[in-house]
Amino acid sequence: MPSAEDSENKEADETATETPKTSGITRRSFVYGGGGIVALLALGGVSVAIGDDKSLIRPPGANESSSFLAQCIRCDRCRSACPRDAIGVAKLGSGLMAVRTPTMEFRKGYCDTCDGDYLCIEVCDTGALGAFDPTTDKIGMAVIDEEKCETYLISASCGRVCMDACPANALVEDEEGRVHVDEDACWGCGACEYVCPANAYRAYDGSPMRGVNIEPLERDL
Amino acid sequence: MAEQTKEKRTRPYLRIRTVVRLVILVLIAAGLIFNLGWGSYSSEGIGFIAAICPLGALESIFGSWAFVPRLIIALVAICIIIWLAGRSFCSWMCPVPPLSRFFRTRKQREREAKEQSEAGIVAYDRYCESCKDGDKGCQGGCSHTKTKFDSRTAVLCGTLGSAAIFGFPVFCLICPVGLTCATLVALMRFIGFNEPSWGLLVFPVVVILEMTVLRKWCSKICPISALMSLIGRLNRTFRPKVDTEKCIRSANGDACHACASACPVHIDPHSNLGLVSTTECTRCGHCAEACPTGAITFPFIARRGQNKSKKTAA
Repeated sequence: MPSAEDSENKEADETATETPKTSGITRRSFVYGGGGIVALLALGGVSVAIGDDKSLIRPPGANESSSFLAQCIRCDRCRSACPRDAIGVAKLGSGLMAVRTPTMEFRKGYCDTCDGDYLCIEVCDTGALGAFDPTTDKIGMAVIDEEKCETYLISASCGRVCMDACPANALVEDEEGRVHVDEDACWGCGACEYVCPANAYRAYDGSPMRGVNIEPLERDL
Repeated sequence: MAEQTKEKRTRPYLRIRTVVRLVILVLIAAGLIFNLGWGSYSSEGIGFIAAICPLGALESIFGSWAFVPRLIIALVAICIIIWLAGRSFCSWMCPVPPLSRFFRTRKQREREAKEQSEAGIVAYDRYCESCKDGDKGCQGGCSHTKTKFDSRTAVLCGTLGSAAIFGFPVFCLICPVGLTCATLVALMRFIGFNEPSWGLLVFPVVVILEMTVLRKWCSKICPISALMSLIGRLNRTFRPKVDTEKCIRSANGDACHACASACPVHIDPHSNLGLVSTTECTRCGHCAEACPTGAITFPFIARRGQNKSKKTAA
């Protein structure tokens, strides 16, 4: 019913261009409408051309990256729902496609799964964050930075707090006391990075890296 | 007479709307600051129950071609709300109109007031035309103002099209409603985490540019209002209803067009002969406040026998 009526209205609108009284309004409408479409297409094109920062780590349940960006409406709910402050906001520097999307910040917090409730997933309406199961899915992957991790350095003086913090028991020690990551067990919760003392108070040395860091997955698909 | 002028000056609708808008803004800001997970205008709620931005929901679907059942349910729910409330969001929740007013110069305000009163005169002239034909206020079903496709509808198409082409919600980048919240978030993170960002500067600048350069954002560009208008075509509830016994035009034949001349979106509450159809009503209550006899109300459903239901009957 609406469609037939709508096309009638459209015709009426177009014919109204002839009458002097409404011609200005219609022409202005054309400028606004056409301008709006062109501006949105240009903005979309520029955003895609710039691309998005692939090094961002997304909250649990983020689908394959492009689908996450497509579905997320930047509503900020997951960030504010996270009881551990583990979710931050991507900045302009991460690209226009990614700006304002949620990103994991393991320096401020880590994912403790909210005891299996995943509040970020619970509040996500669009499906940008879908189901997450740490036994099969991963947020990211812990990677030891051998130049920063104390257990790889001469002193090797570290309490190995990362191993105690890891809920998946994914960090193991070899005979020489060096920490390694069991990549099957690790699901990227970030507890190790959060507690790692290496470089924690040495931001001035220019390196943002800690002894163990969560890195984004090589996403196939 | 003194009572009448007093009645004219009190603005109950404005007061309630201001309070509602502020309360919602404060709730959103509190949710952002204290990490309560209540969300922003784009999606606000508690837990899995939320009022989602219908445009954002559609962009999400167009961008990903994923049909998440939960999103479909949220979208249907918000459509039902819009079906019942029409464009009420614009007057009762949206932070943009007050911002836009704030950035308007005095000259622009005067011009707008002039446009409003002229729109009222047009509506009244059309009413008189129909009286000549012996049809008072088009009650026999002559041509009421119909909902039109306008530039907003074009921008709406552009919004959904760009989401589909580029695979992400492009309009969300420049949405003044979203950017208002984004500014709050950026500000909060700047203060709370000492985390400066270009966004703190860029987001408000984009909003201000949209409010100053594109002064007619709400009526000519906003695709959210376009979407609400489309859904609102089916709306029959909470529309302004003129009590024909109280109305001095209907009852006494006075040349009064105070309601139509007070409407910011140029509708004609009396007989829907304005420049814009009554489907665009944002329930701001300006007409009810302007009416010298208080004849305008916003009932859930206009009863048969009143001017609004005549139209549907015809």
